[in-house]
Amino acid sequence: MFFGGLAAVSGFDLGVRRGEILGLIGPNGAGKTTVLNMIAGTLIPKAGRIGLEGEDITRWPAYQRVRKGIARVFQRNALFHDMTVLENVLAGSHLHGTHGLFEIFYKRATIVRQAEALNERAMDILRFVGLDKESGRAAISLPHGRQRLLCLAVALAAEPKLLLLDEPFTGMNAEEVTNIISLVRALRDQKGITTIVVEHNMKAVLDLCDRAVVLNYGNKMTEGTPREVIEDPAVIEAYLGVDDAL
Amino acid sequence: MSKKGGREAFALGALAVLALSMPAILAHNEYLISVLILILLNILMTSSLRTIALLREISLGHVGFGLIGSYASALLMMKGGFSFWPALLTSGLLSAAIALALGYPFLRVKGIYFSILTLLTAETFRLAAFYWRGLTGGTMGLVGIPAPTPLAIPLLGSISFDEVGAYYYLTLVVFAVCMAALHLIERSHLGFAWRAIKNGEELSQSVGINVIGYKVVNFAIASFFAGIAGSLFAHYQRSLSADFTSRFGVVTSIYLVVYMVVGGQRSFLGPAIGTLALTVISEWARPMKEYQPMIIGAIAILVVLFMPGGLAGLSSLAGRRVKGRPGIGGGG
Amino acid sequence: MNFQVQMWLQAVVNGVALGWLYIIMALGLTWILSIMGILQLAHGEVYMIGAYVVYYLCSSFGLNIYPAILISMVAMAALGVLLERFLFRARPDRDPVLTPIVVSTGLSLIMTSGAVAGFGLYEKSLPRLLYGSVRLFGGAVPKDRLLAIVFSAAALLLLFFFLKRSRWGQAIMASAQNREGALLRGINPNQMAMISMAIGCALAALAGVLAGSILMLQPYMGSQPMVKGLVIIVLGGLGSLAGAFVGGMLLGLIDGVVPVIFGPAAAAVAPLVVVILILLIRPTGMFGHE
Repeated sequence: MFFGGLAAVSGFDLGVRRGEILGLIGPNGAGKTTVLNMIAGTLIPKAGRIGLEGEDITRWPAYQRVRKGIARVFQRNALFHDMTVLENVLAGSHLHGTHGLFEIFYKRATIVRQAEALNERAMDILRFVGLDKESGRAAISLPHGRQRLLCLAVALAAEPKLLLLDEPFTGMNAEEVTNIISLVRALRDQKGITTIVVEHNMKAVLDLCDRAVVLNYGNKMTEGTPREVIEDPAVIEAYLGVDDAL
Repeated sequence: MSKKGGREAFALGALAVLALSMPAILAHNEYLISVLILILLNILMTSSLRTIALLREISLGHVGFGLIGSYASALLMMKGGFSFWPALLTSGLLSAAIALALGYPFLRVKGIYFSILTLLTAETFRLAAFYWRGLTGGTMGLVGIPAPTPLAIPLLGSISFDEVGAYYYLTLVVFAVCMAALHLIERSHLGFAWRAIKNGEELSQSVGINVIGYKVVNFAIASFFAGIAGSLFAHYQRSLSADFTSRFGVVTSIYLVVYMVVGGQRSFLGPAIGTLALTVISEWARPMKEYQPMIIGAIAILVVLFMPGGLAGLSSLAGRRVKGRPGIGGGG
Repeated sequence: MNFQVQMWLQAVVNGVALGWLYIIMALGLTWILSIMGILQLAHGEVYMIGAYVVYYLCSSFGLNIYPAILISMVAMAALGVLLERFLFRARPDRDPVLTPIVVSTGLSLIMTSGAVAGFGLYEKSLPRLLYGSVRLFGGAVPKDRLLAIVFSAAALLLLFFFLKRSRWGQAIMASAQNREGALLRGINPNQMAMISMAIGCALAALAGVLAGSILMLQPYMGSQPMVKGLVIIVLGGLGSLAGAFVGGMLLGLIDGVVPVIFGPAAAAVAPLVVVILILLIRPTGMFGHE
């Protein structure tokens, strides 16, 4: 699949292949989250096109893009704070098994069955990320790292084809980072999910991504394999010039 | 879980028996029975108000949709040749339709604007009814609204609804159906989506929930039940007026909010408790005339400042103190 | 012919005077709303009590009306500070939107019933600000209406200078436009809240007295202006001085013109229609922020 979009101020285009894990890196303020926002639909670009599997989704509102297969994990731990772990994942799988308003009153048996199926699905996802034992806990009572996993689980509940991860490794220790990397790889290998990762943690990008794109001042600076890009002197200078992210 | 279900069923059953025997308990005192009818209607209004509050939106103009329901139902029967049940249903649907139309601009904006807008809307409806002589009798009000057509029951003869006792049962039945519906809706995936939206709109969008769509539907559903309550009111009162001190004034909308908060809007029965408690206190304080609103006002302030869960929250408050465990906020 | 002119002149002047009063009401409300985030539903009652305070100062204590106005404004400002401190201050376990609504509602009930109990339902009148009239455009215009307009305009100008020139004023503007940003800059939210409450209540008192000198006093006199104030806030946008002014003028126009051409029912519906239209185009109101 191909994307074409405009980031922040200037021209920017990005193509993503199905099944690849793409890293989006660059100094702070380069516009990485903006790109993610435009793909997810939180921001509508002033000019340009965004295409998903041949469809032009530029003007689509965010919730519609989710139905098309785009799911997003926010930079901060965004969770439904009054709900349990299981309920959070259920909220994510909201698209499936919905019925009309009036059917609430007479299709009781179908509804119960559907609810059970959704529950099972949610538990499967929790098992995949390793949170199944805590399904009944309040979501906000989880420690930071496991909350991140829950955010991932919620995104997975929507059965995405494209996963957008905004700085998933912030505040994680080495073990947690490795865990997430293996999960994302498993998602690609088992379900063919494509992923775009915005990240500062260079080691993680090296380990995880097939390809990396560097953004600077809202512009695509360069792209290539992670190793090529990270060792590119121009990229290093861009980082040192703006901040000491490395 | 089934033990709790059993207890709930028993409580409901007891409540039903109590409600059915109220007229007898009150020794067929017409005044008291009519107070009961008004309590039921207020509970329905307050409960549907709470539905809107599930999205953390506060409507200060809920009576506006009650007004629509009242006038629509009355006019449909008087000038449109409708019989009672179609009129009841149609006025509910009309209220819902208007809410649907207004919902999009109203719910797109910041929460406090929504509250102000609903207040303005209710006032606008009231003033329109007040001045529109041709349609609503204007400042003279609408009189001569018919009671529901007598119900013919095989073997038992027919029940006329001119009389307060019979109207009480009519109200009770409609009330029970509406409350059951509200409860079912809240427990359904619709209610779950509302909970999600209340927890985080941006997050809900990112999991595929059409936030504005769900908000508008919520508003329409709540207004539907307000319209039903309004219709029942019109055919009970048999006349309608829209001046400032009438049931359709701003003060009533605000009373509904007070009932809801005092009862506790986190619980489904909160509105019922609040309405009952405050109506009883109102009636008791009636001889104190001017001081009556003062007492209600003071109670409202005290409850909302010191009892965040309202009266319904008292039991859990006590439980929390006893067990010493911090409670996990359940859908608050 | 002369009588016609007189009538129209009277109507216009009354309309303009009332329009200004509504603007003053809206100003008080919008500041409280945008700085404290509170919908102060008892604002109309502060307006009413402010007027009654002047009534009693003049009739029972024989004070001249001008010092009475000042005293009333100060008294209401003080009341505002007390209300903020004890009733409206936010606490973590209180819902920030719902709690103030219920509190101000309860307050409104207490104040109106207190007024009914204490002052009685019969209308009272305030001594006129100024006696006599002035020749204008071929008709006689009562001086007190003009003075009301002058006072309101003066209050608006004073407020404007206070906000633009003084340190407190700047802080309040910052708070009104962006609460989180202001907090980050070290502005004390409680102080801001107290000041804005004080100003808001003083403004309400001024509007109440001026209205009372033109119309009559009765315990429920506050609700109409309150509703007008709300319309102006939504039209003009939160926290905006210019918005309150333009919104007020617009509402005055609507209120003046529509009933004459289309009748009272249309006049009731017109403000709402305009509000909805404006919100559809600009969800934050004409000059609103955020």
